[in-house]
Amino acid sequence: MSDNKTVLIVDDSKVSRMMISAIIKQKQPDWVLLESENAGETRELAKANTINFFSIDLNMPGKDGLELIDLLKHKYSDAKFALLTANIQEHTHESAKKLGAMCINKPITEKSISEMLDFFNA
Amino acid sequence: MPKTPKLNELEIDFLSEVFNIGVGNAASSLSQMVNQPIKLSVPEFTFLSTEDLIVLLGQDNLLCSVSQKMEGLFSAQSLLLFPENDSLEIVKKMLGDQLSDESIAELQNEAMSEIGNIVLNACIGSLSESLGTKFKIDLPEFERAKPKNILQSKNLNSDDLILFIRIELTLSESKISGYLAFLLGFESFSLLHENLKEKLANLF
Amino acid sequence: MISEHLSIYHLVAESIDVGIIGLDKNKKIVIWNRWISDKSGYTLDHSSQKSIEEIFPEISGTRLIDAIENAYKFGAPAIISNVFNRSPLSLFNDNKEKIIQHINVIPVTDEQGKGCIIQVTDVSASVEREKALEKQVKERKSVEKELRDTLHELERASKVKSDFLASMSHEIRTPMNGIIGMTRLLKKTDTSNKQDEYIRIIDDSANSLLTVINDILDFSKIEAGKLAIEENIFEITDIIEDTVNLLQPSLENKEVKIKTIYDSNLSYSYLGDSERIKQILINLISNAIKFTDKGTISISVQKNNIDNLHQSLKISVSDTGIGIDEKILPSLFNVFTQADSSTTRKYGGTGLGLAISKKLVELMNGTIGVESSPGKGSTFWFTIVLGMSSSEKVSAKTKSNDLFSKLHAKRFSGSILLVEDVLVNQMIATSILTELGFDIVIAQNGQEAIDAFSRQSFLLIFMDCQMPVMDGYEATKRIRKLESGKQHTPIIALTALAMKGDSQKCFDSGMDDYLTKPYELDDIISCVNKWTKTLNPQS
Repeated sequence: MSDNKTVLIVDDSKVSRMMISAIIKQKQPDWVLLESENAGETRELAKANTINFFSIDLNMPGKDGLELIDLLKHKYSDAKFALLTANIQEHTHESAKKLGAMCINKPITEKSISEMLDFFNA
Repeated sequence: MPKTPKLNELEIDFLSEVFNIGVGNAASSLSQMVNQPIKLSVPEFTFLSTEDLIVLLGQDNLLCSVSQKMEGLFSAQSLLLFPENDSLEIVKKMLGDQLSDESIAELQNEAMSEIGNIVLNACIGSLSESLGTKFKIDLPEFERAKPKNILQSKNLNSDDLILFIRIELTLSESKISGYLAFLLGFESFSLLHENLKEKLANLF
Repeated sequence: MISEHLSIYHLVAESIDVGIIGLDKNKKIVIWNRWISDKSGYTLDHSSQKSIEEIFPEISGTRLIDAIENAYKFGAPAIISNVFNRSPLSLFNDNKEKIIQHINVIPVTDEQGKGCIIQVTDVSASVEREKALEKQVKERKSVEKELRDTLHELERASKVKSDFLASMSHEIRTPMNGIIGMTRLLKKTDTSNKQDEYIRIIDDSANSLLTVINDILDFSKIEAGKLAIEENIFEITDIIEDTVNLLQPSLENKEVKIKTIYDSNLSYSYLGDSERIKQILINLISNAIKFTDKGTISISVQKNNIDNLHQSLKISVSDTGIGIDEKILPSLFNVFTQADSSTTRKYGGTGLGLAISKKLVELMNGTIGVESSPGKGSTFWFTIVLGMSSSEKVSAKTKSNDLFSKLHAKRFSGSILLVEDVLVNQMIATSILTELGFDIVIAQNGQEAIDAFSRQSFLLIFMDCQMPVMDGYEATKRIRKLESGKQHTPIIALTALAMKGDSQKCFDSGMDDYLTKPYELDDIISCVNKWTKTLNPQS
């Protein structure tokens, strides 16, 4: 259990962000949690803060999750990325794998978020 | 303007996510079934009254409709609707654009029933999971008629509320718009609302 | 679980023509009816504890296995249609062919918990029907495409033919016009008797050649479907009289008289294609003259009423000539048949005359026929349907023999613009028109015509249609534009083309009338009579 890590939760659904936050707070109470709604906000927050872990929703208006991860990972090569999606199509998995990101299945449950946290902590 | 019932922003957000997930799963299944990339998205989501729905769908347009009745925590009629031509287009493309229009028309009923079944099951499943409740679901029914007649056959009342979702299906470079509708009686709507409030309360 | 102890249900499940597989709460098979046993080749009882993937490993990763999952997870029923899933299960009919299946997956619950029923129906027959339908549709579409392609080919070929006829017509008629016209002019100069004789022979030959050429062109046009039946007002008596007069010279040296008999109820004037009717009359009457050395040729016109707007006329030409052998009668109206080849040598002709007459008669909704006794004579007759005209006016194309003699009187004055590029044609037209008293301005093409028109006004314009630089139609359109509002100058088209739609083309571009080449002297005179004022009007 590492302390004082910062997670950025990216999702256009407020409820989703709330749910993910709630679960992470439970499991990793000393982590700092930041939230953003879209790609633009994400880039701003990433510039202004040191983000260790990104939890990114695939289906967002504008740039989707995969595009955003592609953009960010070059700049923040030390950070870990998780892609949250209900869409479990083959090629999504492939693309995420290529980017070194982990695919987490929606709906958001304790189980799926735990998986994500295990990946971050690994 | 419809008398929009009072769901707050979070509640609407929550339901949006539910349907996004449902529709995303449906896209996967459809894609796998015909071995072609298929995308489904939910660009719009709203509540409507019965008259508004008929106006929106166009009085005289022929629609292809697949419906499944659901009962449980609340009762509702779930429907997947496409304008007739679009419906034929979808089936044609999913079958690889090989068959003549006449043949597609013959297959329409069965093919749409299966497609509707996949989409509706996925949405109802997502709803089940998110609300933590189970529904008893009926086999799909296919109908080809004008909006008014379709809604009449579902015994729609004037004070019923319709959860109305526009979906966009992308298949082989065609973008086709269709609609998901959940017809809820007033009581059913209240039950749904209660449940939503509960779920969201747990987050705080 | 559905209990098979209930014997009625058990009986039903075993007897029906539908497959039923029942899965318990652990997804193990507890119902496996006879239909499934038969078609799968497996027999199971409810204690086998097999899962469906064990029996049918091929369903892993398919819609069926997902549907079963959903049934248990969400209680969702599924339809697995043959449209998207041909044969998910390995089931075979008596002919060892795989069955095309429609499957319903139905979640069920009883006191023991959840389960599901998988119902399988054989839809191979309806799929066969769908295939047959598709095949029919594809065949029909392919036939339709072939027909369309053929139609296009035919249309293209037809157009090629038309274009060919059009240019041939023009190419041939132009020099003929030159020869005949020049011969006429030559006749009017001072010539010796010997020269007169030579001129006569040239004239006769040219006219014979023209007849042959016209026959061939006409026939080609008719075959290509390009011959149009015109409509004008005429008097039947005039046409017959004109024809007889025209053929008068061939009666020289024969002791043959011509008689005409008209039905007393004939209308004053009729609506029809007088030129073509005359063509038929010329053919029949000249044949009669050719084959009759002595006796009478009678031409009779009888009428039948059809309705208030139409009349049918029967015109007969009877002669006391050599007659025709019965055996030949049926093929007389065919192309290139004459009584025998010796007749061709003796009497000349192309063999096309009667064939053309037949086609023309048919285009005018009529019939044609012949009766004959060798040695006694023949009667050729034809019927045509004509419209009735209430007007007393007679076509501008009627001719009068007196016109010839009036040629030398200078009856007109004023300027005429002659737009014509071929020198010979220019010369002919100029000579005739100056004889009549007109001043002639010549333009070689459409552009020159417009220039001339803008410099002075004319009583009348003769406009050739086919010219280089700018053709007659274009020039006419532009002249009409220049004119707008001001005095209308009559424009007469000079055209070698006499095809369907050509006259319409002339009128559409703004012309008032047309003459076809080779034009007779009389044509030109009637035309100027019609379109300008005469100085010394004759009655």
